[in-house]
Amino acid sequence: MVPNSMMFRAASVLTAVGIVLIVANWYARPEAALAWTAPLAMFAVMFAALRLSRRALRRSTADVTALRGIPTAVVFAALMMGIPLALTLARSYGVVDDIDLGRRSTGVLIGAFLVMLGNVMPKNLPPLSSMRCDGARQQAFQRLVGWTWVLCGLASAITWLALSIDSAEVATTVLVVTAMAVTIAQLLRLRKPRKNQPAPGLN
Amino acid sequence: MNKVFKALSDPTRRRVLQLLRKRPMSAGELSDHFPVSKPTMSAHFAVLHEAGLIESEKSGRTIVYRLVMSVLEDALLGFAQTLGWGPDSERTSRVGDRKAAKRLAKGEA
Repeated sequence: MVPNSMMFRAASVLTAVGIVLIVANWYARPEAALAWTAPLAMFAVMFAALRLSRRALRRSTADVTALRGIPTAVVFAALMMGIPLALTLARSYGVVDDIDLGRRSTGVLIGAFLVMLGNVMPKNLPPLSSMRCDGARQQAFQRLVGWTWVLCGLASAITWLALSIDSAEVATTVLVVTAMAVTIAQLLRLRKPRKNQPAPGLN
Repeated sequence: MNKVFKALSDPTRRRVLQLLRKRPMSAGELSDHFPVSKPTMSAHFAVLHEAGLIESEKSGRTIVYRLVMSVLEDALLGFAQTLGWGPDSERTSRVGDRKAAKRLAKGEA
């Protein structure tokens, strides 16, 4: 069984496009050959991860939930690397003049990835019977953390669109560090046992 | 997404989701908050389950429901509540609360 085969197809196509872009960039600027080997190696790893996860899912012996995220992650990674590669290629042929366009688009994409990550966080709850703390606290934690990352991603994407590159870099760092601090603080609160703790899962 | 909109368009279902925001609850606990029959409540639970907004787990002889809403769905619920999609929800929730309060008072007496 291969769940979400559309995503698998999109990930494969984007990986192939990425490799083509690297080869084209290499051809356009052969003096920077060393710089092109790093993204090439990363695309090769992504391609291998896709193939291995697809094979594991076909065998139906693997943990489907854990493997389902791989194509989505590959799509985002391929976009994050592919867009700057396409822009670099366009710049070397004189089609695009803006130097910062690649960094901006990558920043917006990272923001979108954080939004997507945060959006599904409250949905991925462990079964009530296997919970070590009460279900209400776990649910509240995942909801708060999900909202935190969605808002962080949105603010980060807007920052990259609206501010100058230098300001956007600082603002994104502050946003991500704040979101991480909120997550860690909530995680520590979750670990702390409550007085009169009810039975795990049900309360 | 159509299923989500359909699930959120009903005030009773929205109230169920609001109750589940606090903590996971059994089907009986949830039904106590509404002046409707158990089969009607089961139909509401089925719609919410089908839309992927709630999850059920069997614990002994009771079924426990809990919220599994993404942030986007949560935001949609907020919009639906504010804009008041579907028929008026106030009366349904008020009667339900009164019924629950009566049961509680009876138990305490």
